[in-house]
Amino acid sequence: MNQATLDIAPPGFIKLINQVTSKDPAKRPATAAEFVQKLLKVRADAQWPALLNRKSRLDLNVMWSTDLLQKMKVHLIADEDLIFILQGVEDHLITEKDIRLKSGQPIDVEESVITQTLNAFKSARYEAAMARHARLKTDMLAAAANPTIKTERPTLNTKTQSASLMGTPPPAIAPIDKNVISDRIRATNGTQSRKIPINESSGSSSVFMRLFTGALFIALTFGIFSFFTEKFREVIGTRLPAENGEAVLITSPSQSRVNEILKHFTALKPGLRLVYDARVMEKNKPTEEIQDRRDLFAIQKDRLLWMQNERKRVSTSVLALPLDVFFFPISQLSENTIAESSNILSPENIEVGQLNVWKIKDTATGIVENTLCRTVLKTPTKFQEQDQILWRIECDREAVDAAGVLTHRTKESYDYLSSGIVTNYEINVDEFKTGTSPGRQYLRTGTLNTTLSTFKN
Amino acid sequence: MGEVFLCLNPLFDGDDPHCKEPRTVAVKTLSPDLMQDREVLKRFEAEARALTPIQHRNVVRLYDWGKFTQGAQVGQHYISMEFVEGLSLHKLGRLRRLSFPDVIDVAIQICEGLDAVHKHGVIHRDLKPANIMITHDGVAKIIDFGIAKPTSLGTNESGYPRYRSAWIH
Repeated sequence: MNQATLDIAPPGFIKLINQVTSKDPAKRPATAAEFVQKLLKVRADAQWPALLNRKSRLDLNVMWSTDLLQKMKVHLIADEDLIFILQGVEDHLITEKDIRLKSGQPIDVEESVITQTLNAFKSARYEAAMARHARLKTDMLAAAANPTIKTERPTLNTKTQSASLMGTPPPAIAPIDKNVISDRIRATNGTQSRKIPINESSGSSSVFMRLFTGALFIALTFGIFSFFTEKFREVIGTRLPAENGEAVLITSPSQSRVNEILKHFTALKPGLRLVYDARVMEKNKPTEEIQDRRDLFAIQKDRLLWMQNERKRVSTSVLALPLDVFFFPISQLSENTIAESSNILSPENIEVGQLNVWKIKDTATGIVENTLCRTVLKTPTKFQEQDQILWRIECDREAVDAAGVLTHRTKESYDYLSSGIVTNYEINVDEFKTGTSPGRQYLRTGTLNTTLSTFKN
Repeated sequence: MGEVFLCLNPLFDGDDPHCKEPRTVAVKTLSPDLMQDREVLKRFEAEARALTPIQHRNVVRLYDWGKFTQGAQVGQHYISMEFVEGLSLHKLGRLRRLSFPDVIDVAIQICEGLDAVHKHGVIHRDLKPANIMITHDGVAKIIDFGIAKPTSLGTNESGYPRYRSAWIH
């Protein structure tokens, strides 16, 4: 179970929040007790494994020893899972060993506890995936029984972000319940007889009838399977994990694909200079006015090579949107050890409502910046006397340090043209207080200065 | 408005099963300068009156209230309450990203506490993350009933604007 999965609202949660904050009193729960019932239902429906519901997870005073982190590395635990494993260890110590972790002293734990926690974590993740799969199956059966029933699940809704729920479903569709198929056959035949499972021998059936039933069964199974597969795709979005809101490591596209993308992004040519009139505004400080220059000096295979403010080199994939995360990471990312993950496949074809996730990870330090972007507007516009499409993209970004502590959070907005450039950006940064930083909030805005910028169309 | 002290309860007897008050209690006192201010005094008393009947695991518990009758603070008003060891939800949210299981768990606890408060005919009127304490074992407790009042007196708007009900804005 990764952090991203748990960051996505469970089914019905957003709807419930909308009800609670509704201006219409009739829509709001009448009492706190009623709201509790609804929350309990949301929690039950989410079917989170018990491991994730432990209240002790909220304990903050635990300080783990560096030895423990070294031991963890031996188990090859993915960084995004590390925090959950540590919380599992914490739970284990509190519940099994009755240890109150409040000392403030670095805590080390035995190898056996780590192994036990890891096993529990793996089984919890498996259970969550199976539970989700079972829910999907129930929904599909309900949809099959009554095609007008709308399932509440999966809709790639930009507001609720409920693209994926708990865990990744198993790769294959589980076997279909034969009784259900039997019911379906009876319903198709219009028979009102008692329920007979299709594998139950009737004794009196002739060979022909058996063959006929068998053929019918195969045809129906195939039909239902196709129907379910189609539904499954509808529900999940598509078979590609990348389009299911899941970030995958950006891989190099083929040269023909690169050319195809660059054909759309007419502005992205070596020699392009983008100059933004940028402002940094912070409370109780004078507004800082700066120029943010980005020179595209080369395109090598699938990478765009930029020189930012004539000193910093930035390399972006042709698949990447020119987001701030690449040019101004909010955390201390090093330049050469970056792993980029995203779910984007066609940066040239963005639609309103589309969700894109970006994950930039510094493999040397473990710092991660996660960005979730929604396209909220698509409109024709004129730029440099050319007809273009303007997309407005809104993003939420969070930076997490190696220990999993949230260090920054931003709200971002970009005006992005179909020629491949951003004309306006607005980044609202909330930097949290940590050991090294006193914490601050600031707003950075930038507007493309068209008189100073150069476009080679 | 005053000061809050962490006090050791001299009556605490760990061996006595009838001793309901814990070893440590939080004592909130009203600043002597403000004792003449009737409005402040009213709010201070309101908090005590609101909390008196409520006994719920998700609501801070009140043990006693009144005026000091001896010592340096004679005549000064006080409220003796459960000492909640932990962090406010506000601070917790800044330190750690809460996952949805945590969020729902905390929300359920808060609502259970609120339900108990409402059943006693009291409305908190200033519910916000800073007024929710999360103990080390994950129990959420509603605190600061300074501007709470009985439901019978109506529900005019109050509290911190950012956390005010959406329909009031």
